[in-house]
Amino acid sequence: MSILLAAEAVTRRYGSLTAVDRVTLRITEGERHALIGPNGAGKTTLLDLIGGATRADAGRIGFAGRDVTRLGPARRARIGIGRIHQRPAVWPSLTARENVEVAAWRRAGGLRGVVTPGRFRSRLREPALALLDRVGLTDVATSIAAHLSHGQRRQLEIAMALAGQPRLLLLDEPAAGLSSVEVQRLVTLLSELSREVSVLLVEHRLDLVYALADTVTVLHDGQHVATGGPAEIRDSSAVRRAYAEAVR
Amino acid sequence: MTGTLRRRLIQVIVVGVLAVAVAVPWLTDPYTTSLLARTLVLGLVGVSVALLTGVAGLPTLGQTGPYAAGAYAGALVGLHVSSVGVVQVLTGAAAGALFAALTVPLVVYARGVVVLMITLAIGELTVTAASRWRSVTGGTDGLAGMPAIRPVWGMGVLDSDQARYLYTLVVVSVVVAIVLMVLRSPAGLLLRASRDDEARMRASGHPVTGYLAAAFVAGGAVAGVAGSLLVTAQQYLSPADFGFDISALLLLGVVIGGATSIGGAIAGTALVIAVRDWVSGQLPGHAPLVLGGLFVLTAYLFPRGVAGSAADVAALFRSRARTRSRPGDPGPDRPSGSGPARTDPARTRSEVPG
Repeated sequence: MSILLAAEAVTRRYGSLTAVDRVTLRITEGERHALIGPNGAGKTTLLDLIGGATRADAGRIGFAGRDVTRLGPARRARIGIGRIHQRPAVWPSLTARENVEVAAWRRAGGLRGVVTPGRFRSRLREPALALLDRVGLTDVATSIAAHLSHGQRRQLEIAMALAGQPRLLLLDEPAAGLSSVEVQRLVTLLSELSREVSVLLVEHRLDLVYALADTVTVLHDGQHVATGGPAEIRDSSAVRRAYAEAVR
Repeated sequence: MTGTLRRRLIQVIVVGVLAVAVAVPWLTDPYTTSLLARTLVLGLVGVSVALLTGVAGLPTLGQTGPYAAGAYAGALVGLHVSSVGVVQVLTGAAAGALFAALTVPLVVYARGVVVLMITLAIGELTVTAASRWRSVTGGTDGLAGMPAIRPVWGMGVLDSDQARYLYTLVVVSVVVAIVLMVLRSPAGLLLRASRDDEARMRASGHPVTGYLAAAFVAGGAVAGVAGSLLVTAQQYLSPADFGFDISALLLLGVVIGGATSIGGAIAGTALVIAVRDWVSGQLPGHAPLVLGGLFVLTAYLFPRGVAGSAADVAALFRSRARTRSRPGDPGPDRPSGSGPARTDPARTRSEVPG
């Protein structure tokens, strides 16, 4: 399997605090990679660095053989990095279907949507409805997103991320605030994702991590602690130490 | 109220308002008619303020800049090139768009209060330039003596306040209709999404800065058209027409009317101008006090502006009607959690400015 994402010695500082300290992370095509660690370990900052929401102070990020370190989030999204945020980020004044259509817009042709709006939107409509069906939101397709529950917004954001046809999906605590039924649906959805899509998952629920991930990386205080298979990580004394220090 | 009934009601209101607006010259004296023509002009600038503030999320105090550019360009064309109204309107639109295109790099990377401050500075610098550039603008003496216009080639000259008012009404109606059409198109959808969550737009690959720049230039073109209409309605221009007080009144009108509603922006601007020009006649010297009171009342009673609050009330009625018709329905106050959708059929379409 070829390397899809290669973050090399990436560093991000906020004043005197080093949120991510020379972390190296590699993800192969189709891999399910999880990022775990106590609160404040730098997991979300690392996702921000990979997604382009934050610029690295040092290090290099390569994606699909291209150096993307200096690219902004929109350019990174266009070359295949999709993102799900810690708090569901949807467009509240749009309907659920419109949210998915706008998320698919750039992949479907961008400017053509403004030049020939009718034909363009009718072409987006069916795939958008199919995605809403996949995440269980068919019944609320025409509802304003502001009126959806937290769980529904989370499902909607997943549909939006998939609509952009990403090659790498960054998931920041996707199970946070979901009911057990919704978590089960999420696990099924992620398990059924095509192996054409690689996943980088940040999640506190370790049962989900061990169920979904091929590889797990542990961060602590912004530094890399360990990388390995789920069983290896579960038994790692270094990982236990990192969590114990955080609790102390 | 069903969607069809609601649309019908809106159509009836729009047709009624237009009918009254057309009948105004026969119902009022020429002075009031000319005052109303200027109110329509400011209403159109209010539309450009609402487009930027409410739809694109760029609160502005600087639309007097492209407004002035359109006005002076229209006046100079009227004085030296052509007395045809369409030529002046298109010149005003081009001048307003050009002004916005030149200033957009200063605005489009900022957000919130910073945009307000930058646009305020742009507006003030424009007024200063208009006051100092005597050879072009006539300085503080202004420009006068513009010949009466003919709307298009071959038509008669508009030599009365009534005719100029009707011409202004037609142009404002056409421009507002175009703005509404654009806002109901995918372009409007992208702008509202950019306003809602810019980070999410970027994460979906959208060039948000480009969208906002396009909206800013389009807003400039609309303000430029209003500027050329001011020349027609008033037949005189001076820097005082573009001062900070006008910027503040426009933003106040748009906030009172409802920043996300184009109709609300026109109505709010008209209300503010009416208070300034008419009510102050009844209470001499107290217009700012009345305006301040109006703003405080609106902020408390209608936090989303009159149009926004009216939409909220209508949605509440629809929601209650639905709850009454389905007694088992937990209603809109059920806490949102992980259960089924809190679907409100009354709000099943996105909020389209109108």
